[in-house]
Amino acid sequence: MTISAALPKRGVYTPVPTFFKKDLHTIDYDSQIEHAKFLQQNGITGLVLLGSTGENSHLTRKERIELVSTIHEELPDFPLMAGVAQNSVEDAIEEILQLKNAGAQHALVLPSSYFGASIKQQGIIDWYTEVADNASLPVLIYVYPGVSNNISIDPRTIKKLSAHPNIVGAKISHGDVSHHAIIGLDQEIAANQFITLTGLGQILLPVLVVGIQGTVDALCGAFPKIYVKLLENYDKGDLRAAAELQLVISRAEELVVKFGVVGIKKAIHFATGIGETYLGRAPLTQDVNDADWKSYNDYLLGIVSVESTL
Amino acid sequence: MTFNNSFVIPKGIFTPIPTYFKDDGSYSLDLETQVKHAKMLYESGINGLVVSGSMGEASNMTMKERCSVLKAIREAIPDSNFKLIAGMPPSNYSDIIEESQIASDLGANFIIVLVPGYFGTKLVTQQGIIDYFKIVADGSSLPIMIYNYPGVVNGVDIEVSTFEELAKHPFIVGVKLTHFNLDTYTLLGKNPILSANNFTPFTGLGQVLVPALSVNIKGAIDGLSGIFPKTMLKLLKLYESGKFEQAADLQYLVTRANMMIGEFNVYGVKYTLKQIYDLGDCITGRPPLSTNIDTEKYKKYQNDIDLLLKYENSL
Repeated sequence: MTISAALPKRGVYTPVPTFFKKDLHTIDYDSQIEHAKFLQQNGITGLVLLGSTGENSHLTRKERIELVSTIHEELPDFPLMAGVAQNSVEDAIEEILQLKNAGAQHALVLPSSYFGASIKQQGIIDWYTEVADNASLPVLIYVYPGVSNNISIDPRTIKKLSAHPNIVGAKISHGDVSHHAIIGLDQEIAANQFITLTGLGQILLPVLVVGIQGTVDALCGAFPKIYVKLLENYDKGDLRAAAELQLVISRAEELVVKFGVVGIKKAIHFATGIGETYLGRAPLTQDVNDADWKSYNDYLLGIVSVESTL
Repeated sequence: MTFNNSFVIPKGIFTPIPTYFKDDGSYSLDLETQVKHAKMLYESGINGLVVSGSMGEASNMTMKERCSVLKAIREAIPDSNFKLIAGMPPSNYSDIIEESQIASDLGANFIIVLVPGYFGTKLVTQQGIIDYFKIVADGSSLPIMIYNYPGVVNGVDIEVSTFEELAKHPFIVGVKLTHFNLDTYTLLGKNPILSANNFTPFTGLGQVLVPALSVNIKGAIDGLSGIFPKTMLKLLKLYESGKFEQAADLQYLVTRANMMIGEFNVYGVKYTLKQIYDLGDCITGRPPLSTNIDTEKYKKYQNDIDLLLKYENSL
């Protein structure tokens, strides 16, 4: 039997945005590094670079690889997971090889999703198997129907893929707690050396209860300590304290639901001052509606005030 | 910028050609079959091809492979009246601009570019779409057809006013509408700003060709034309020569047969091409399109396919 690849640790991971200069094109490496250091100093377990929040889809491969190598050179001890959003098997394999060489330790891989509803579960299994067979890094499955033309990856598909020695986990970015439970509580999946993280910090406590091992949540890029504290409280059995933090987090996450990646960057800018703009590359060149944003002020100030006490 | 006639997409029937793979366990490109099918379409009178579009599984190929397919087809069919529209699956403008240069060198005439929809309808604004296409058009080596297919870009759609703005760019020359919103067809087909800018709308759905033509849409880029090219050309001709009743009768047969593609997409087109013309060794696509068609479910369309084949053979 092949020895299983290294598992990511239980914990709180930040999918970091890619920072741009005011021309909305040039990558702002100074801010990128400043943000990564801020997260490491505040207890974050590791980073996910080039996830959805990182605007993976708007960068060239050369830029993606440079971003990973730059962060890795600055922070060689900080675990880096790299997002992979390729439809073609061969492109995915090539990209993972380059990401490994740049210093990433795990690949968080979106399914090939162009054909949406035409894709069968067996097709998903075939695709991930071919990628994982040839991937230079251990693979996590990225379940995010919202950016994958709504294709859903069945928990049974996850279970089958968990048997692959080079597939070591999943990130689930949808709110179906039942799917989290079916995967998180399955002892056969756990025995396959498999770790499941939720992409939704707003349900972190409920899914920790059903065996999920942590979160990859974008808003912890602005407020890292409260997420780390929630997990700590849960792990030492203080469910009441964890629940109090969960309420503050879930409220603040409404901002992310409403404003997505632009809102996340705006929140990071608001909380830390990092970044000369919070807008993205085209088509993400437009600011959020100010009145809409202000309507969430109470939730935002709520998390700011709790974060400042930690 | 001076106006150049080569920027206008001629009206007609264009085929999004499937990409052929060998049955060798690694799905390597089968360029021989690729060229055979392309020639068959050319000789039938098809006006051009979309090479590496959705039907060509562009997203399941590397850039190098997309270029090989394009090169093989253009070398086999050097006729410059046979337009090659190269599919551009990347979702970042820098990669598209780079690939457009290679496609131009290999003999493509246009590129077709999807709406950047990764972030879905909540985040992608109309102004963001305008910014994106202008950056692509400013840098592209070939004129651009916009690919309006909400079904593969997380539901992101384009408003009519956005088309009006984009049509003013001399390098943005048309759109393929792969949706059934006939109100949009009408608002684009009869739109004076679009016509003044030589912006040409096509439907991506042959099942509504006659209704689309009736509101001044200029033709179809339709998967069924890869199987029944003469039929689709005849349908266009009947309408254009004012034989509306006959056109509507033929449209009925075409729409029925197209229901098969609606259900089976790439799988259905490849399977049917294999059944009728014995094209290709491998009738599935690449993973994740690696599963076999459910032939029991296909049977309900067999009669419609047979009827249209009979018609095709009579032309």
